[in-house]
Amino acid sequence: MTARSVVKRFQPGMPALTSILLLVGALAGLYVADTQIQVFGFGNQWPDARTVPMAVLGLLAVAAALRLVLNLNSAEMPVGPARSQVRVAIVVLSSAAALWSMTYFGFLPGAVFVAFVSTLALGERRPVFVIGLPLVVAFAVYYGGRYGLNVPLP
Amino acid sequence: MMQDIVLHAFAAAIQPMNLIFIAFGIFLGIVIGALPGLGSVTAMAVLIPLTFYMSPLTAIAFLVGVNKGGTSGGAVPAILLNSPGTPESAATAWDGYPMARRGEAFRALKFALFSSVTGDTISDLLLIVLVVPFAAFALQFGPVEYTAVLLFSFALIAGIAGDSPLKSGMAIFIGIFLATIGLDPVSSTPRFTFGRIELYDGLSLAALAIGALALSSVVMQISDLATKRVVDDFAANQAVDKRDRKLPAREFFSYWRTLTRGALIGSLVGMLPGLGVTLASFMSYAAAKRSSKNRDTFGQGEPEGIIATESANSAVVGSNLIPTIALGIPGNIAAALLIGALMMHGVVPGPFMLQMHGELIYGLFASMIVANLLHLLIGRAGLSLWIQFARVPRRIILPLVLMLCIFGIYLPSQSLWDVGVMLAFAGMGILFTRVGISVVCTVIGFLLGEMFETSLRQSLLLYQVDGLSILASPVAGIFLLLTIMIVARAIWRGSRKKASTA
Repeated sequence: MTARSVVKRFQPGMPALTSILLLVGALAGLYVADTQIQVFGFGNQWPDARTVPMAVLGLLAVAAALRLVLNLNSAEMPVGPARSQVRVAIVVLSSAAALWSMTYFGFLPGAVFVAFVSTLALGERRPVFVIGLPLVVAFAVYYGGRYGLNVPLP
Repeated sequence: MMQDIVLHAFAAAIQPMNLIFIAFGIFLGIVIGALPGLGSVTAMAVLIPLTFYMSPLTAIAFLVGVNKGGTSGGAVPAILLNSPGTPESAATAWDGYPMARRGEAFRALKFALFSSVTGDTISDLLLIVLVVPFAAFALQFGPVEYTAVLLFSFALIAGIAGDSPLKSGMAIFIGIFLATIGLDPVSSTPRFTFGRIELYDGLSLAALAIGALALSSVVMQISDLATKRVVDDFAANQAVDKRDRKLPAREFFSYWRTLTRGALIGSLVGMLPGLGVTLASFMSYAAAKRSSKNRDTFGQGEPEGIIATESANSAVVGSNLIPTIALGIPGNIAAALLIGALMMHGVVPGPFMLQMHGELIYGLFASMIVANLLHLLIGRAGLSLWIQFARVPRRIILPLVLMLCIFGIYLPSQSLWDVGVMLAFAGMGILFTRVGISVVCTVIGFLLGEMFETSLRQSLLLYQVDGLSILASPVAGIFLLLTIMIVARAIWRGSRKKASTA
């Protein structure tokens, strides 16, 4: 085994990064548990409000650490080139932007915008599907919700 | 005497107005259940005001129809879009979507519908025959028994979902932890709310389930299409020839063991308040996988997987009425809504209900049987419509599903906070799926987390003086033993697999 292959083995991929993320998250949860869960004790009242969340976070930390150790030498799935994810990022960012804008402009423009951008990002170019269908569905949902189900959308 | 009651019940059930509203309820249930995020509970909650103007029997039969239709409607997006609208349909997607991808969408939908109706009918018959003795059995379940059953369920689900029990265990811990956010169920102390008032009620199950299961799947499909990892061939693959869409009765009933087992598991889980539809479908899937000759093809388009899931989740609909009718305890949210509707019509559920409103209850039983027949007819007619959606290219359908997910989450709470939570869980779902951690386990951990915590804490308070007293309950003892066996087997199989690959 060459030194180069050993170095390659220890490059963390997505599974290892996820385990590290979960381990750090669980430890952070345990760290803030005392301040985030106030227990008003009247004598011996175990189990209390902290028992289950702390036990579960502890178990999660142990499991994440165990997974990291067990898979130290196994082949890792690479994170992949960022360029190939641009279209996905467009869809995700447009959804988040539409969600933020719904508070100010309402459901209708936000929903039409999401469907319009996603359809374009997926490579559809025919106007009837890029503009027409999102408009029809958004209007049907908006007015169906408002008058059919009596739910006023923003 | 009994004959007279049965005849009267069926005469009431087949009144034209009753039949029209049952059929209307099933139709609405299927349509609303098929929309991501809008399951049978939302459908019932939205439609309850319509029942104000109906007679008590028609009103309850209408809502039962909505519940039946809504439960089976969830299978449609699971099979056609791989985005289960509700957690109980998640296991349907495991085998339904691969079947649809290889061009058998119509057959997969048929398997789902027929299994759903059969499971529901078996459960309804059990409800009619065993309502009183089953209710007495359900009363024996205390916090210790519930803790043991839930631990067993977690172990079982961790064993079948995902590619490693350790990863599934992690997913379940995350789900239970997420369920602890909000006010503590015992002392009402805020937990992990970070001062956000929206978190006091905890995270929304719908936002978690739709975000992690449905929306993540939609975004991943968009990602696969956008990055050209997958060709948009779903529509083109579908069988055009009618012969390829057929599902002969002989073929369907050749799976009678899986069908009956699923219906019995669903009925048993349904009669225990709180365990719910999702647990029933996963327990049935696990049991079918263990006992099947084709266990290696589960998850790759095996019809038995669809049959096990759909027969079990639909069987819960009927058996959930056992504690509702006999004890006045709702088995799940849908049953709680039914109790609300009954009370609005002046009927108080509980032990005296059969005595005081016998005619209404037997009329309801007869309506449920009639509803199953109507469900079969309406569902079968609807398949031809659903299959048209399978013929539309994904690049057109997926953005619209994205829009419907936002609407589905906004509808019950009317809060954009839940929509944001859904998007965050969609991100978690994508990450977990990419690294092989079961999102379903997280959703189930979340779903059962509060009940598990409450029953565990009650059990610990009951038995903290003498821990061995827990063995005084044979039901709890058996389930704990089974849990230990499942965990030990998973560890042994894991170490053997590791040794064989080394």
